[in-house]
Amino acid sequence: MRTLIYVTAIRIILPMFLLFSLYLFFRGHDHPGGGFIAALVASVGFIFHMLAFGIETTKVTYNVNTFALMGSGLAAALLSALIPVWVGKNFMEALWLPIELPVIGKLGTPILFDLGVYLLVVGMVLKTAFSLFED
Amino acid sequence: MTAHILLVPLLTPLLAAMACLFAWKKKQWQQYIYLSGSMITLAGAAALAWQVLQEGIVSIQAGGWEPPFGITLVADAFSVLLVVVTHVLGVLIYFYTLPPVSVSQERKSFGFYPSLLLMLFGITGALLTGDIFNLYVWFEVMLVSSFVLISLGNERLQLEGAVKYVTINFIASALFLAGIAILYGMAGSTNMADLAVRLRADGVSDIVYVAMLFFLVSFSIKAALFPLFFWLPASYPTPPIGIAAIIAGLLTKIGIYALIRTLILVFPDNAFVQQLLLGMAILTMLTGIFGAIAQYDMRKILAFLIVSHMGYMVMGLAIATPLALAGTIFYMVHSILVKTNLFFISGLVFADQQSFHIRKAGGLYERLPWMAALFLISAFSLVGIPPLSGFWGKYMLASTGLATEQYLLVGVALLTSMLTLWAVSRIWLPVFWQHKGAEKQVTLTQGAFVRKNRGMVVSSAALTLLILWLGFQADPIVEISIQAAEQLFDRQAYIDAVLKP
Repeated sequence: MRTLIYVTAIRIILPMFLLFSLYLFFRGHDHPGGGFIAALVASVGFIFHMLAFGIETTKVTYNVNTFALMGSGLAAALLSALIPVWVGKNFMEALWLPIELPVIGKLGTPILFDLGVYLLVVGMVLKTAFSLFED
Repeated sequence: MTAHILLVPLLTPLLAAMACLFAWKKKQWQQYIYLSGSMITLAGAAALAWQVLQEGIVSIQAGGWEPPFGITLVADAFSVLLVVVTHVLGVLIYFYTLPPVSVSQERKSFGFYPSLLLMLFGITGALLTGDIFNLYVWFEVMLVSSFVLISLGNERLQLEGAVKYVTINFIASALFLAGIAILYGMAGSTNMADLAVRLRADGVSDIVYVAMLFFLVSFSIKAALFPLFFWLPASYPTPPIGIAAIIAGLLTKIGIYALIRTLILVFPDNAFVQQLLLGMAILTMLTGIFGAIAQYDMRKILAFLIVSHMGYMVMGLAIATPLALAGTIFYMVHSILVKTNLFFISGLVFADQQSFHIRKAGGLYERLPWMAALFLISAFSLVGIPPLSGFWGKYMLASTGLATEQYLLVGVALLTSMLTLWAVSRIWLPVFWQHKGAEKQVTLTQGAFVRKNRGMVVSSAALTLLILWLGFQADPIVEISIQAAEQLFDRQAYIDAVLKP
């Protein structure tokens, strides 16, 4: 697998994977996309990196704690569900900030929930990939 | 806003599991998190139960969507009773799994606590949801985390059991999903209250009975009813005893819960299904008990006893009068406590004798008489000797059975009780009474044994006290069961509570 072309190309391709994953993440509310699929795209980028440089390099370069990723994902999702309760709305009801950002659009609890999904899935897929590669 | 109390028992296990993920390498922290999390959950469950019993059904709409479009969470007397019992076990299992003989230290540092919390999360969700597709999702949460628990440790035998467990349960889930798809195609809704309105209306298409059979088969697999119980004795005895105890105590009852909830609430009455349930109840009781009599491993005997006693719960559902259903509900509570305690005690026997085989253990009555007493109370309770808890459940079921002239069913139920006495005496005689295990080198004195396995002894004793309380002070739980059963048959009240909040 570790040819020169592949190793060189992956340095350029990985940021593109991440950028594409962000694009999918933010367009997910009204179009195909969202946290889950964006996380899969991001994880694929990291798995390619792992194939090119070996698992140890990837782990050292990005220094990810997969369990903490999963935990923060759950925390973000729970937070998005509980913030509305805190302000007196229904459990999991969508709250939006009044301002609208260029490109991204409105921010609110649904995007926080999706961020939770994103982190959880990245953590889960990377943990699975790490375990499989280590064997 | 008081309805938000419903979220406490539901979300606390998830919150605690999340905290455990951050403390993955620190077993000690996970233990603190588990203990505090399960206690807060129990307190929340008790508060929710109090509110439901005082003021009636509590429901909240997730996301604030109008029912039936959003997902509804509903707590009625039936579900809160089971939620409380579940989380009582959730606290006790912490103490039971402290000694390494019930769950080894390596297993505890590989995600035992978060998996257990997620399983409790799944069970609570399944009990509190008011949406049929959401119920499927909760079943999956429960299934996946219990799969982790069963296979934790990767022993060959364990994996063999886990593969059987997962395969058959995935098939059950697929059937469940197919049933949901049919219902959604017919009624365009997955909200149980809304489905109840649409499916119980006049002139509903006969396809609803196809969906009903899908549900029946799927939940019969999950509840281990005849003829779909074979996976249970093959998989439940394989994991470490602490894990086997909680899974054996709880999961099959959630299958029965789902069966009761859907058949009583959602589907129209059908004489054929009623007859089918009657036959299944009879055959489940008989095959289970004969299986138990044929086994030599304590855990296998207990696994077959679980199957056999699922028959009693179906019996109440098959008779389908409020009093019979109250009997079923009481029997579920009794059965969860007693079965778990019997598994607890078989773990204690193993801690002393290093074997689950009834021929390889012996003389415990002489050495550890208190353990014999614990076993005897739970075993007699299971058999149904008055005034222990099993008697009241069986009395309620048998009396309504006689009142509705189901003589065969009542006869088989009584016969099964007698045979249960035989099955438990097959454990009692060789393991506790006879002295033939004396050639074993037993080095521990009684005091040293208790000190070494303190958590197991304490939790088993606490559970025995609960069983005794349930027997001698049956009134409150019987009253709650009757209230829950009447609430189940009062469909309009449930529908109003969900659709017109």
